[in-house]
Amino acid sequence: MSLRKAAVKTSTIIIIALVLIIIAAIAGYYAGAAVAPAPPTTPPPKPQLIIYHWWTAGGEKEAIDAVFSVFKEANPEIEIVENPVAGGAGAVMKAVIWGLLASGTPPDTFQVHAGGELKEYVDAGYLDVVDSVWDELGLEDVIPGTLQAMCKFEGHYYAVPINVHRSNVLWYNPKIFDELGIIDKFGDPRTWDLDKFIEVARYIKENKPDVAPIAMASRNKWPLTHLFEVLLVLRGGPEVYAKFWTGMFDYKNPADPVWAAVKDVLKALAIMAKEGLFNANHPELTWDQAAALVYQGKAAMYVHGDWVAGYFMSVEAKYGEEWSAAPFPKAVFILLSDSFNMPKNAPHPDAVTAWLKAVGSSEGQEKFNLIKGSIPARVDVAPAYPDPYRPETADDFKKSTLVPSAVHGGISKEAFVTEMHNIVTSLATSAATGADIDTLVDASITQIMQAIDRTGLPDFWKGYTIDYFITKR
Amino acid sequence: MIASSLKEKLIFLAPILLITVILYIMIATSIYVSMSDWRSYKISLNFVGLRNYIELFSNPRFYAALRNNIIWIALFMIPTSFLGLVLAYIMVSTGKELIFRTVFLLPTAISMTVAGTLWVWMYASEGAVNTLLKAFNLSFLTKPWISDPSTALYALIFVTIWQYLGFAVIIFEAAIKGIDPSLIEAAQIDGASSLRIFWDIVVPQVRHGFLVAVPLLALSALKIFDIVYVATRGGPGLATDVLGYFMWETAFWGRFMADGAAIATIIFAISLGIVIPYALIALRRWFR
Repeated sequence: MSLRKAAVKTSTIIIIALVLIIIAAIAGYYAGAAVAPAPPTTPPPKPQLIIYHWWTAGGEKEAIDAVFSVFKEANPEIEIVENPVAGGAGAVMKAVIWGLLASGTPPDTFQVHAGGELKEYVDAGYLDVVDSVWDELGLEDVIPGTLQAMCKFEGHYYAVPINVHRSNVLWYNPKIFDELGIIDKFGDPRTWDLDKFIEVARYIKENKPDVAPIAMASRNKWPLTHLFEVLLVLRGGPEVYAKFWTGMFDYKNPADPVWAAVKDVLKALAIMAKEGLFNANHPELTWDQAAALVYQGKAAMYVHGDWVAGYFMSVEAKYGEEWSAAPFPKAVFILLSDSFNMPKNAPHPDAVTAWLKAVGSSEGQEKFNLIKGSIPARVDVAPAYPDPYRPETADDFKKSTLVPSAVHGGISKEAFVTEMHNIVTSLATSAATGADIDTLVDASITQIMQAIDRTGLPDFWKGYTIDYFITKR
Repeated sequence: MIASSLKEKLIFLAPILLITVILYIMIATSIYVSMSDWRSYKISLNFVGLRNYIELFSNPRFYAALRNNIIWIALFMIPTSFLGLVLAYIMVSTGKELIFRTVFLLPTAISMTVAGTLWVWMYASEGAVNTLLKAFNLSFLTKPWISDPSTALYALIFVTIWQYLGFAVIIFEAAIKGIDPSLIEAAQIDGASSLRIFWDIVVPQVRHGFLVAVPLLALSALKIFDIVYVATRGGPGLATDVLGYFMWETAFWGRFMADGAAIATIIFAISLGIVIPYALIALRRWFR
């Protein structure tokens, strides 16, 4: 009997405890949503740097490790706590970081694309100003205007860029080009316009039907939008490009000149899909598989960012024989950049400052970019590039007109870019099945207009002008 | 001893109560978020009524995804449960249960992400599926399975059937074993064929197996996400887009959390539409 009583007593306690836990959970949940959690009060025993990045692939990892070694030299007492989250362009990491920031437990610093993607964190009030690092390193003197603009919002810097990639490059197979006499016939790809590009593709298709004129990979959708981005600069120039991606034009008026350029580019993409100028299996390939088609001689050209150079070198494809590259167009440099920042309430602000200094230092930039396949954000750093591609890019970065990439988080709003992926791939898919191109293009324009509205794109850049993003040269 | 006190009942109910309460808090929060203006990294819970739903219903992509989900449910649930039953019957009647179970349960044990990656390779224009077809002189059947918008959806649905078949087999195996053996023996003595026994005795006797398998399979198809993400991202175009992927892209890629929550709420409502009839039938059986 007494045993039973004891059991009943225990059960009463358990029930009360459970009810309390439930009530506490409910209360805590709603209180948590309303009140920002307090910053941690107890200092950690050993200084740390808690860092999140998405560089896990071969080459990338070694590159960030090189910056860690620069940081360690200057700050041997700080322990680096790495949290690499794999997944192309941080698709997975962004969700992780969002959770940490929203719950008030930010890391010390995390990787983010400079530009619109960074601005989304700034707008949400998650990041601290890092003006002092820029001042101390004198970065304003060595980082070009467009890249400054991509880190600077409402007069303050919120990130330090570590590298620069170029989005607009034409990769081509020199053997196929020589065989068909493309450059003799059509001139240097650096000077081609949109019509010439299609003309060349058709010429290749006609004379070498077993080779895909333009390599494409749309399994992850974005490489097609990437081509759209490059062709928009090619057709409309940097101003039209910037107006389109920021929504800073009379987008409700179909007669606005920006739409004329967009229409031409959409039409070009539809023609490429309909006439079979892409490799037929593009919906099952990823960007690197499309690049492989070029050096293997299965495709003649590929419009993609310059991480392709890193890929070609990693598979030991021979420059000049299996691949070659031309800025496309030469006069404009569409750039993207990875950067690091300091979240508000970062647990180790001193370590972050030291880290950002390592990131912005000449030594850090040189070591990182040599391995990563990109070029330094600082124009005063000139590593001895082992490859033939990067010296020209580095030179163009100083001399060409600069605009930020839209597809890679620079100039647009990600919600809009995501909609563009679906609109552009749907257009190409329907065109390939033989639908009428003009009807498809008109439908796409209507969809883009709705997407601009739906995603609030013009409001995102309220208070900015397109000149802010363009470094004219 | 069996007649336990109310308190003892409560002790055993407590864990499920706790889980249920947390679940309902999350559902309620999600529904509230779907009626808020949370459209950036910053949490924002200002009430906007049904605005997000109205915008969603005016978005053609929603209907494309919904249509694909409905096709997915129909073309996945029916063959999987029927094939599962047939295989389970063959398995039990031949007595080769161990081999069958191992063979059919293996795909179920593989994660959808791995299965998706494997099948993308196999479906490739020069992949295993087309190579096999050519080897058997069936070249006229070769197709760019996931590059062609007219076959991509069905190709992915097939992968889910392949994955879930083992699950259906296990459910029906248990159901078939619950049939009174004297029924089958009596039919055999009367000279009924295996097919006739299957159709007239097994199928009617395993109705409760369908009651378990059908809603679970339908729910799996409704919330499908992983294979679409891995294999096609909803492409080519929107050919394989589904509500689950649309929700993820909206909420996490576009940072339109409120709109993503609205899609989630719609998925939830549809799942209720699947579960409620099932629950009613089940309850009627229990309280008859």
